[in-house]
Amino acid sequence: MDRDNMHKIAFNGDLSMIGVTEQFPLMAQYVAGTIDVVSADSDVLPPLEIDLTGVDVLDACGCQLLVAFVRNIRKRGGGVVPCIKLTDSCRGTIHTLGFDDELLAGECA
Amino acid sequence: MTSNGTDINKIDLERFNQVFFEECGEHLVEMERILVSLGDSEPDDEQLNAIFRAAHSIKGGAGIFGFQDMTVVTHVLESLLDKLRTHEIPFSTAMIDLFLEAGDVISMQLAGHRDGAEVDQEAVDRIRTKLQQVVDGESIASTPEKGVPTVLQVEGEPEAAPGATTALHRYEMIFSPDPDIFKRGVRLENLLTELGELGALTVHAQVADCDDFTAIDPEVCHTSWRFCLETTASEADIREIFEFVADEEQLEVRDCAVGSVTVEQATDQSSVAPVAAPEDGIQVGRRAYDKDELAPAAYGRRTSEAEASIRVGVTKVDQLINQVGELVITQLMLAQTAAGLDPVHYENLHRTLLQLERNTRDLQQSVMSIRLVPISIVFSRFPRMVRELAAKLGKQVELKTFGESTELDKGLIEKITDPLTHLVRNCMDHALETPEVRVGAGKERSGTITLRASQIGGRIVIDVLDDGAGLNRDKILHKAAERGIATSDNMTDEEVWQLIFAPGFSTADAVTDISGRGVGMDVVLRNVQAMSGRVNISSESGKGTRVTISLPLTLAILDGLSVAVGEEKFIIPLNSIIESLQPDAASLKTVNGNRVVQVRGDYIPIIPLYELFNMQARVTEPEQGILILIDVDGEKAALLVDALLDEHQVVIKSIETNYRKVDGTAGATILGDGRVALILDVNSLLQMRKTKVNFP
Repeated sequence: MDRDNMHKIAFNGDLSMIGVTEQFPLMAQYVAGTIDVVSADSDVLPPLEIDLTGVDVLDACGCQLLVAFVRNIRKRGGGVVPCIKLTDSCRGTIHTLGFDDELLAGECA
Repeated sequence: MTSNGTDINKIDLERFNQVFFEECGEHLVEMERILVSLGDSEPDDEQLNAIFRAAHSIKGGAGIFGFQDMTVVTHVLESLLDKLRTHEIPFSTAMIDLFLEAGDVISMQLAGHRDGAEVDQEAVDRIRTKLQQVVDGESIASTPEKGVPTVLQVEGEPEAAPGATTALHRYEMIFSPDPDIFKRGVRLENLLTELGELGALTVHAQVADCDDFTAIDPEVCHTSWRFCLETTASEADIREIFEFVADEEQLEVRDCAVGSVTVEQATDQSSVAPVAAPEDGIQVGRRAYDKDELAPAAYGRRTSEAEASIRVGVTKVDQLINQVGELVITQLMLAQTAAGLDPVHYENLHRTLLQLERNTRDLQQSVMSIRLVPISIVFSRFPRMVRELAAKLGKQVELKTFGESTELDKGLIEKITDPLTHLVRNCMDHALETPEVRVGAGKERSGTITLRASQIGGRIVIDVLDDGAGLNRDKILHKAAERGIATSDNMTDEEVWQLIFAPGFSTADAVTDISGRGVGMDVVLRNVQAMSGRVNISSESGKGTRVTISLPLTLAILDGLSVAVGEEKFIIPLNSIIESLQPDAASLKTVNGNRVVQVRGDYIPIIPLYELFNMQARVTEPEQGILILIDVDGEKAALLVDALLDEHQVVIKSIETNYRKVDGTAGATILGDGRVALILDVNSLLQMRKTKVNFP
């Protein structure tokens, strides 16, 4: 993975049902931006690191949104799975709720 | 790029939590009500089911809202209740105390989450162990107390039905929740944790595909879940966990051990439908009537009455009442201004102002009614208290309540609780005799305490009656003399009974932890008077005592008559006025230096308001002014004023808050001309007359 060209996006605070409406615009903004990049320059996006280490609260609603976000990025990025940075707490929540396949598979080394 | 969504988190969670706290409190009250109503009898199926539902709802809500500690006691309580329901173990009367104790512990945990109150973890562990012991077929051990059953042996739990829960099942499930499950604040992680406690669980979430990410609604659930659970639990146990979050058809369960089709097959057939509302919009099962989890009676507790109600904060209601009060004042000002305008030229204006007055009055009454709550809220606390005190004191007591639907202001409800508690405790401790004494006196072994509420005119009257020994006149006089209170043998019974309201007065021979320290009746009187209320006592030796508390219906508005004294205006509450008259000289007398007016054979003392409030008056002689006859609990007086002005419904404002306490007044109001008028407290005026307070 070309870490020099890697985009980074970080989420802090609440990524649960309560906070998703606050977090969603950032994701949508990124997705909208990447769509432009694809159409203008290249078929393949630079890899993306999604930093969730600042997330205090994560629940099924947040996980669902992350999955949709990751899928979209992957689709636009030539199949490259975004790298996700997690805390133990978030990892536990993702596992408990069964989102392992789509979110933990892309966990940053 | 960063984003932070924590600010709104706390507020919204508190909103959700508050709903749970309120509902949990209601379930606990209902549980206690049923338990206490049982006495020593065995609950019927309906009662057991109701208690079970209450415990079950608390557990479900606690789990969903993340208060896992509260599910600990409720879980084992629920297990025990379930065994009782299915007659797997027999009922014993000691269980009632056990359930009540469990309810107390859950209340304590609730208070811990709601108010940050300290939680005694030892008590939690203790009750959990006790409950578990009974579930496991052991005996109930309770603290030995006088009159309380001590140890009751519960027969051993029978062996589990062969094959009922011993077989290992492998359940495969598909959970397709409502799209609004997140909006309802349901925490699936808690639910899955609970599911995981049943056995080995694997979870797989499947999020529906979405072509346009920017168009999705992040708060809507687009996910379904597949679970695989290896457990000895039954399908019913699993469905119970989902009971509060899913209709039956939203959770598909296959028991692979009995050779059903696999979930994989089922999934292939249904392609894991990505969680959409039924196409025709028709909901079945619980969702059909419980769509909004924020509704007052959500989570399986809805009643027909609650369906049409919403929870609103008291602060908001008070704000509304205050604003309507201001509107009333503004309307009065308009009316007063318009009164000076020609009624012919301004006919339309006058007609419209009349309409405004009617509408404003209706609005005010409607708004005031929001704050009215039934007194059953207070009465409902006494059955248990009586039950426990009776056991402690070795007495047999029956509590009767009447008029529980009588409504009064929420603020009054909160303030009347302590005085009533004092009175009931006094009845239990002092008034009612032991069974042996009662039998010796030719009475029933069991004594009776009656709580009765009713609305009489603009006041709420609450009677606390007992059929005990009655007040002891000689003992009261003796104790009063010991305390240096002036007494005489010529005092009427009514005057003697008033002595027990003296601070620190007690005729109890021994101080108990129930009463007898003499910190009761004076506090009762003070608290009731603080609500513009009155306390009366009547008692008959050997037959019992009646304490009557009379309270205004509300503290916010008042129907009053405005009167003029000098340059000032006063408001006299209409409900205390008998009549007004202009006396002739022949009807005026002087008795013991006090002026009285003779009305239909009665001599009624005259209270000149100008003297009482030390004012300059235009009228100082009764025959030149107006006498307003007032009646306070049978005691009459005639207030001397300069003139009668008008009848008003006034908004009461606290003068104490804005200025200081003024003797003889119950507050102030703003009149239509913008001036402030004092509202008279007629009861206090009579006391002032007796003690000559402020008289020159």
